[in-house]
Amino acid sequence: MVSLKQIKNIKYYRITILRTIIQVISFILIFGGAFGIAATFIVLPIMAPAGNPYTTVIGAWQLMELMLTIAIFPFLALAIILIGSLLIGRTFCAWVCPFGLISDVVSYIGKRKRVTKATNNSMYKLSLFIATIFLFIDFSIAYNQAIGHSIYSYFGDFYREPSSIIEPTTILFSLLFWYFYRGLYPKDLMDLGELLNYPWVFWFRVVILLLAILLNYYLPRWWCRWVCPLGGMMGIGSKYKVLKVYVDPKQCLGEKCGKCVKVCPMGVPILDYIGKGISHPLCTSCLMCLDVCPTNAIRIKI
Amino acid sequence: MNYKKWSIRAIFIIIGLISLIYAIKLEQWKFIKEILTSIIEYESGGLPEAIF
Repeated sequence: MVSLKQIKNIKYYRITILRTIIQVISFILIFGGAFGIAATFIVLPIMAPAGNPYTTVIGAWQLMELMLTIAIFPFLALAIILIGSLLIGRTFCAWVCPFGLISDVVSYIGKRKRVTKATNNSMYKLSLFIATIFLFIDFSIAYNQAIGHSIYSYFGDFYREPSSIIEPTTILFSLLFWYFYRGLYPKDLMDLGELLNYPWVFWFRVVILLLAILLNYYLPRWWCRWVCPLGGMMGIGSKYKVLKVYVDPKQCLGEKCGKCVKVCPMGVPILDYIGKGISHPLCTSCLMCLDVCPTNAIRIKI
Repeated sequence: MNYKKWSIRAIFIIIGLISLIYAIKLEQWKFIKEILTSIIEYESGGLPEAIF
C-alpha cells in the first residue's frame, strides 16, 4: 500500500483520489438519513446495516439474512449478488462500501506487510466458509420457522441476523451508534466500574470491530479479503465478471517493475494475468494498479 | 471461445433474472422500505441496557 507520504506527485494517483471522493459521497448518502434523505428501497452489494436509523439503503447480505430468518426467500438480494458480481465483480467493495472506506483510510497511513500468494488465496476460502456457516444457520432458522418450530431463542439477540455478531459495520453503525446515541456509556469517572458489568457479547463485538479496523494498518483490507461473507460470495461471480481490469502484454514490464502488485490492497497477483483480464476473486477493481502503472499497460476492458 | 466461462455466466444470468422477476412479482422492495423505516434491535445485541 502506498503511504500518503510517498505520494510525490498527486497526478499519479488521480483515480485513487476520485475513488476516495466517491467513497466519501457514498458514505454520506448511505447514512443520508442524518441529512434528511428519506430511506429508499435500494439494495446494494455492500455491507450496510439495517439497524441504524439513518441508513437509506440496505446491504445485500443484511437483507438476505433478515428475509431468510423469517422464512422468506430473498430473491432480491440473490439477484443483486448474482447479476452485480457477474457484471462488475466486487467493484462496490472498493468504490461504495462504508467499511471499505474505513479500511482504506487506516491502510493509507499504515505500514504494509505482505502475505504470500498461496496464503492470500487460501484465506479467501475462509470468507466462503464463513458465508456457508451463516447461510446454513439462516436456512435452519427459516426451515424451523416454516414448520412452526421456532429456534429463535437459541440465538439470543442475533436471531434475525446471526452474522451481525462478528460483522464490523453492524457493530459500528448499530451497536455503538445506539450505545452513544442513547448515552449508555459511563458519564462519570465513578461510574467506570459499570464497564465490568457489561455483557460479554458487547466486549466481544467491540474487540472484533477494533481488530477489523486496526489490523488494516498492517494488512490492507484484511477483513474484506478473508472474512467478509458478502465479499466471498461476490468473489465467486467475480471470477467470471464482464468488466475486467486488463494487462496489456506488449506494454507491461512484468517482474522488472511489479508496482501494480505492490500497490494492490487486496494482494491480487496481477502479473499472473498478463495478456488477459484479471479474474481473481479478490480483485475489487479499485484501479490503484492502473494509477501506478508507468507504461499504461493496465486498463478496463469488457 | 471459453465454453466453461460462458456456461457459468449463462447460469448466473438465468438464476439472477429469475430471482429478479420473482422479487418484482412478490414486491420484495416493500420489505426493505419497511425495515429501513422502523427501529430494529436485531443488530444491537450486547448493549448494556435494553433500549427497545
